[in-house]
Amino acid sequence: MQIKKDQEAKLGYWLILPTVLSIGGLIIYPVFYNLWLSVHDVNMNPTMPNEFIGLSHFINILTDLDFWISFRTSLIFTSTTVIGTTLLGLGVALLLNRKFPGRAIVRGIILLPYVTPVISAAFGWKYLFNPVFGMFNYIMVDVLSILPQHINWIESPRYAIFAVIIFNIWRNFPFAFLMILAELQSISDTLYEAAEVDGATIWQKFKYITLPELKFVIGALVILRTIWNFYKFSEVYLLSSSVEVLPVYIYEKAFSTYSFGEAAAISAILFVFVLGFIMFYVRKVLEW
Amino acid sequence: MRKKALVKISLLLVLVFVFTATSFAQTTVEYWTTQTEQERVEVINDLIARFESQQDQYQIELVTVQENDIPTKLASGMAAGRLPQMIEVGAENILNLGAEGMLDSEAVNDVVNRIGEEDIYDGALKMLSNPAGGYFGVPFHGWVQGIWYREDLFEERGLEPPTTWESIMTAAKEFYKPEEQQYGIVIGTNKDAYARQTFTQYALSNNARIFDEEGNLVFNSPEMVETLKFYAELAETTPPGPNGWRDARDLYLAGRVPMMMYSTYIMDDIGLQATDYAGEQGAIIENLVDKTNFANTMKHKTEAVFGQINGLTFIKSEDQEKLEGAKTFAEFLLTGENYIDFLHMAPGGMNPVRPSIANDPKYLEHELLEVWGEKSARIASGLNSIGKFGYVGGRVFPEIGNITSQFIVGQTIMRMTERGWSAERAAEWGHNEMQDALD
Repeated sequence: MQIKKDQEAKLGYWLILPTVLSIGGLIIYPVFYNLWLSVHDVNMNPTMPNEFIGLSHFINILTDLDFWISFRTSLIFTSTTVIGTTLLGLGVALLLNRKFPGRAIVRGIILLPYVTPVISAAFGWKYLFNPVFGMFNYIMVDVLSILPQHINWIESPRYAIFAVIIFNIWRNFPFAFLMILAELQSISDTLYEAAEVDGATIWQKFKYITLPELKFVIGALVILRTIWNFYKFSEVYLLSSSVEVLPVYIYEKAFSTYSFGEAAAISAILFVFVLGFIMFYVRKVLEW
Repeated sequence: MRKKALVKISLLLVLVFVFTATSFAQTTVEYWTTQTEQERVEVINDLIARFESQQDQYQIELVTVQENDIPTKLASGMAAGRLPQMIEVGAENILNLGAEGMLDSEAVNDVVNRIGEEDIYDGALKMLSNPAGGYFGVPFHGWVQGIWYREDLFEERGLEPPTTWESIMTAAKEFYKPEEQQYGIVIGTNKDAYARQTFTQYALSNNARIFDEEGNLVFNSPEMVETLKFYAELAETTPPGPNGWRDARDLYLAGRVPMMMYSTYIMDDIGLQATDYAGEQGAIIENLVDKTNFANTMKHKTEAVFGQINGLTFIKSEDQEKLEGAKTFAEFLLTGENYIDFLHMAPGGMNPVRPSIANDPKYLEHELLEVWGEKSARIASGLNSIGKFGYVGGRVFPEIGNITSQFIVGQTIMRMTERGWSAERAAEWGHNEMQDALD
């Protein structure tokens, strides 16, 4: 019996080997390589050696005001977009969960922002918010006179963060919508019927039936969106180079100042931060 | 029967071997260009096809890279150990690479000699010279920057041409009517190369420098602070928010600004309507080319012209075969009809660095250059007297490349225009950032 078990175990190892190798090569190796880079002064010239400098990159970063400003920008960007995409997705999903003519078409249209290539969406928004020709300024200033003057929403460091947040919510809420709608459709009608018999209001039905049923899908959405948006580069940088979230900060460190070691150290700090957040969230909020 | 089949098969194998061997024997040379517009890429591809049909030793692989992305792409190429043999970029980038010891100066000198040093403008050669002697790049083509302005509107209001600080400021304030979306001027106020380029001309005309003659950083000098102050005041008449080259072009063509700073590359956009030239669509003003004039010299304490020389340069390589191919192709591009065809892809924008080509009737025989008439000859003449931050009193400071790749000048300007910093504070900040970049 023992021998057979050993053989089975051996076979098992062989079977998981490809997975172990690919995860090792694609995830574990880069993580350790990044950590290795973060304690070295990386030389641009491949023929020159890299110098080991210990933790000085980490000390430099944690005492650098620019890093903390970027960190704050990232926190603002991530929290507002996570809340925004989830709430908007939830609201739209609740509305479209009712039966009405043309529902299938509307559901399809809602998905468009999510499937549009990010570069064309970004350029469309750039023209929408253009300071001179843009529709947004035209309506707000020239038609409705809500604002006193035209504003460069996309490039101005003061306003660009709003544009980037709105753009991100607009682009990503369909994902939340899709997941929540799928869950909504699996909630049995009998629950609502029973509640109606007990004389529950719409709000009570939402609070005591819909929300608890949606808890896990919303929980999963929040954690996924947090991870994705904390590391979001393309949607931010393509729309406006004025919003220095952490990924943009890392990019500039690595490529315009050639400080690869420092950039790797920032990534390591972020990795620890996000890992901590996930562990806290999974235990305390999701109670898994 | 069997023998015959065997002979046939071996014959086939030999043939296959011969064919693959000949195609493998061709050396592939990678060439990076900053000409990314589709029409320009087509012209370069035609030239590559012509080059390949004239010899069968070398194949050219073209890679297009945005000018602003060059530092990034080179950094990642370097880290990955995959660099091209030949690149076509601006002088600062070339000096930067040269200072890093990445360029084959000897190969560059070879090509310069093959073409003939005496048939290349001195001004252009100076921009690419190696402080240790010889050159870091072969001058290829150049542009001149200045203020493009609406002569008709200036005359209507009796304004002086915008050639001095005073006349520029007066005109900008005169035309600034934000409630009608009419603005005074477009100058660079964003974190990009355009802001540095437009700012340089003001600084040079005020004798403000980034380096003094000993190579010390002097970005916080009183002259620089004065220039920053003037620039920030002028920026109050620009369209809202940070502006880049795209704003300058779009708003001028749409008649929203009577002045903007741009290189000679705007000539085809402005001259578009007067020719059948199939460039980008855009001009809204009738006969814009007749209404436009160009002030390429700025006078304040001194006269300043700003422009850019693009050069071809070679990355150091173990593979002499590839390097030789790159040199041959560089010489091909700079010769006769090939060179003229290349320059005509952005007529007026790209100016020849070889006097023999500049005066060649075949070069001048282009619709767009004819539309601009005598103006075009005057515009190109500025190429020989360009001044730049990296060149002081005949000395070259390749370190400038570290400063330009981080867009510190643009960031300094943005701190005044977007955050309301004083010129003194911004200059001090820029000075410190530059110091960090140089360390």
